[in-house]
Amino acid sequence: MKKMMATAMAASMVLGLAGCGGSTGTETTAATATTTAGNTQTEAAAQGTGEVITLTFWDENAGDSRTEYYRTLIENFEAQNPNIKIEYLGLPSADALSKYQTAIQAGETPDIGGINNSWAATIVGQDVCIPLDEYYAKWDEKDDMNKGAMEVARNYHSDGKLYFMPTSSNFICLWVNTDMLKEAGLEGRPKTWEEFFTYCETLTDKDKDQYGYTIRGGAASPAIVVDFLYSYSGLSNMFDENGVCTINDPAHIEFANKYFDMYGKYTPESDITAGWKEIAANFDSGVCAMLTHNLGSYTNHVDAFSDTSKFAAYALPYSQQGTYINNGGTLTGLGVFKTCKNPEAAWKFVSFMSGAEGNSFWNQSIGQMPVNNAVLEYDWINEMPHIQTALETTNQDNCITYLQMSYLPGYGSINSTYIEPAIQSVMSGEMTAEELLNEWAGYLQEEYDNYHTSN
Amino acid sequence: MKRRWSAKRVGTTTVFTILPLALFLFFILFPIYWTIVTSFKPESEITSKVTSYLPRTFTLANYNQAWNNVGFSMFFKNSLYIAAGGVLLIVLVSIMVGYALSRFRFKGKTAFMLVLLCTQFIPSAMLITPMFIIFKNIGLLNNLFALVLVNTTFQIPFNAILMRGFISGIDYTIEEAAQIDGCSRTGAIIKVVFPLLKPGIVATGAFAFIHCWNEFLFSFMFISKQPKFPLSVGLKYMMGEYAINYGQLAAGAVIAVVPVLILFSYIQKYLVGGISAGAVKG
Repeated sequence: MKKMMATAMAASMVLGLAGCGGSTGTETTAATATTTAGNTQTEAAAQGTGEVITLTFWDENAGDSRTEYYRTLIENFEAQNPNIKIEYLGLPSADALSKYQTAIQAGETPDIGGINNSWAATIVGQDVCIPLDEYYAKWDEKDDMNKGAMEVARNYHSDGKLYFMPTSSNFICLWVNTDMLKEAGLEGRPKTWEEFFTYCETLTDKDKDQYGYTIRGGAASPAIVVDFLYSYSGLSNMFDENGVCTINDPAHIEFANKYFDMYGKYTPESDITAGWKEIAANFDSGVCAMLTHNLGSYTNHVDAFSDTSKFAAYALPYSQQGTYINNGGTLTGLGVFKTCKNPEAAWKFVSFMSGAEGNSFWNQSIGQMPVNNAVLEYDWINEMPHIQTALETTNQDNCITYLQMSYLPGYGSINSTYIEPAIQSVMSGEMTAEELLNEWAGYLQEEYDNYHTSN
Repeated sequence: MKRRWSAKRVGTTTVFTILPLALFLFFILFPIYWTIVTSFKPESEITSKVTSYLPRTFTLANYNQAWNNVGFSMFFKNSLYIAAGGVLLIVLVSIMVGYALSRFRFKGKTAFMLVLLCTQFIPSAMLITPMFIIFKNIGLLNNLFALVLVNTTFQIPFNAILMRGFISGIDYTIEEAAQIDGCSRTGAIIKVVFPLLKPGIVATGAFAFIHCWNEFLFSFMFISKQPKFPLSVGLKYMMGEYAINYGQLAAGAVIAVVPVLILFSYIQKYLVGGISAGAVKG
C-alpha cells in the first residue's frame, strides 16, 4: 500500500512537470484569422527567407464588434504580407493597463500593443517601446499624417521621439436626442454654456422620468470635467506661461458650481456612480436628452435608436471668449515593444493601420476620425454627420486646440485615485467645487514640477 | 389550552420573519431574473425606454451569437478544464493536509496552522508579478494548467482547515477499530473516513469549484492567447469602452451560471450538512 501511494505521488509530480514547457492544455481552435503558434520569441526573424513571422498584437479596447473589424484588417494585411501572421488578443478596456503593467514588469510584452491616450505616457515613459522615428522617416505616407496628432504622439515621452503611432483621433461632442429637443421646442446646438444649462433645465420633466443631461460621476469622470472647464473659460493651456496650473481659475470654479448644481435636478440621481455604461444607457433609452462622449459611441447610438435622424452629435458650446476650445489629445494608436524580435515586420502592421487603406476601414467602422489626411477625401466621410461636425468645428478659425496633460506620467493616476472620488463628494454635497479644483490644481502642480525638474 | 398558532402569532411571524425574508429574497433574485429575461430580448428592446418584465420579442439570437461568434464555446471548455483540475487537486491535497492536522501530533503543528491562516491575509494581486515571472521561467504561461496550479495554491489553506474540521468530527475510534481488524491506516482512511467524509468533500469541492469558475485576475494576467480565456475573462471582454452588447453579455452570464446551478442542485443535500458539520467541530 505504501509503495502504491509513493508511486501515485511520484506519478502526479511527474505529470505536473510534464505540464510545464510549451503550450499544452486545452487546444482549441479559434474561429479567427489568427494562428495559435508557440512562443513568438523563438521564431526566426529574417524576411525573404520564406519563413513566417508571427507577431502578437494586443487590442486595448476589445469588444465583439471591434474585434471583428480587427479580424478583417488583419486578414487584409496578411493577404498583402503572406510571411507575417498577426496573433490577435483582445483585452477588456477597463483592465488593459494592468495587463500591460504586469507584462512590462515580467518582460512579456506583446510585439505590438494598442495604447490609449489616457495612459500612453505611463507606458511610453517606462522606456519599453522602441522609437519608430527611423521607420517613420522612410514611410511614403508620412506627409499625409495629421500634424497635430503626430505632435501629441511625440509628447508622450520627454525625449520627443515617436514611440506611439496614432491610428484614430477623437472629438468630444454633445450627443443629443433630437426628438426630445423638438418636443421641448428647442432647435439646434446650444451655442453658449448658458444656453446649455437652459437646455438641461427645459428638457427635464421628472414626471415623465426625463432629464436634460447625464453627468458621468463614476469611472473616468475627470476627463469630461476638464474639457468642459476649458471649453467654458476659453483658456487653452492647463499651465500658464509661468508654469502655474490653471484648473482652479475663477471662471472654472464658477462653471463647476453651475455644472455640479445640476446633479439630481436636471440629471438622474444615479449619475453619482454612473460610468460609460450607465450614461450611455441613460441616453440610448431616452431617459436623458443629452450626453457628453466622443465620436466612438456612434455605432452604439445607431443600434439603440435604429434611425440616425433621431440623434445628432453637436459640438460643445463656445467659450466665454467666443472661441471653440477643442481637446486635441484624444488619440488611440499602436506601439512596438522592445521585446519584439521583428520590429520591421511590426512597423509594417503599424504603418498599415495608420496608412490610408487601414486607417479608412478602421475609422469608418468605429465611427472616429482618421489621422491620415488622405482619408478625409474618401466618400464615407461625407456620410458620417458626426465626423462632419468634428471636421467643420476643428477647421474653424476660432478653434483653439488644448491638450490635457496626459504626457505627465502621473496624470491618469491622479485622476483615477483622487479626483474621481472627489467629484462624487462634490455631487453628494460633501465638498465644494472650489475645494475640488484647488485640490486638483495642487496634485497637477506637484506632478508638473516634478516632471520638469527631472527632465 | 392556547392554540399553537394564534392570529397574533401568525401576524408577528409574518411581519418579523416572512416579510423581511421575502424582501431579501426579492433583492437577491431580481438581478438574476433580469439577466435571464434580458438574454432573451433583442437589443432594441433592451435599450428601449419602455421597461418590459417579460420579453415582448423572444429571441435566442443572443445565445447563438455569444456561443458561436464571441467564442463562449471555447471559454466554457477552458473554464471546465480549470475548474475540474482545480477541484480534483484541491480536494485531494486538502484531505491529506486536513487529516494530518486533525489526527497527527507533530512539532510545529500550531505554527503551521498559523502560517496557513496568515496566507489568507495576503492580497492575491500582490503576487501576480512574482508568480508571472515564476510561470514564465518554467514555461507555463498561456497554459491552463498554470491556472489549475494557481487556484490550487490559493485554495488549499482555507480548504485544508475546513477539511480538518470535518475530519475531527469523525470519531477516531472507528478508524482504530478498522485498524485493529487488519486495515492499514491508509485502508482505514479510504474505507472508513472517506464515506463518512462525503459531506465535507462535497462542501470543499463546491467552494473550490466556485472559486475556480469565477477566478478572473490570474486568468487574465497569465493567459495571453484569446482561445485560452476562461468564461470570467470572456464576460469582461464583452464590456468594451464604447460599446456593450447587453443581450450577448446577459446570455454569456447565463451560460456561465448554468453549470454552477446544475452542480448545486445535485449536491445541495450534502452541502448544508457538510458546512454545519465542519463548522461546529474543530
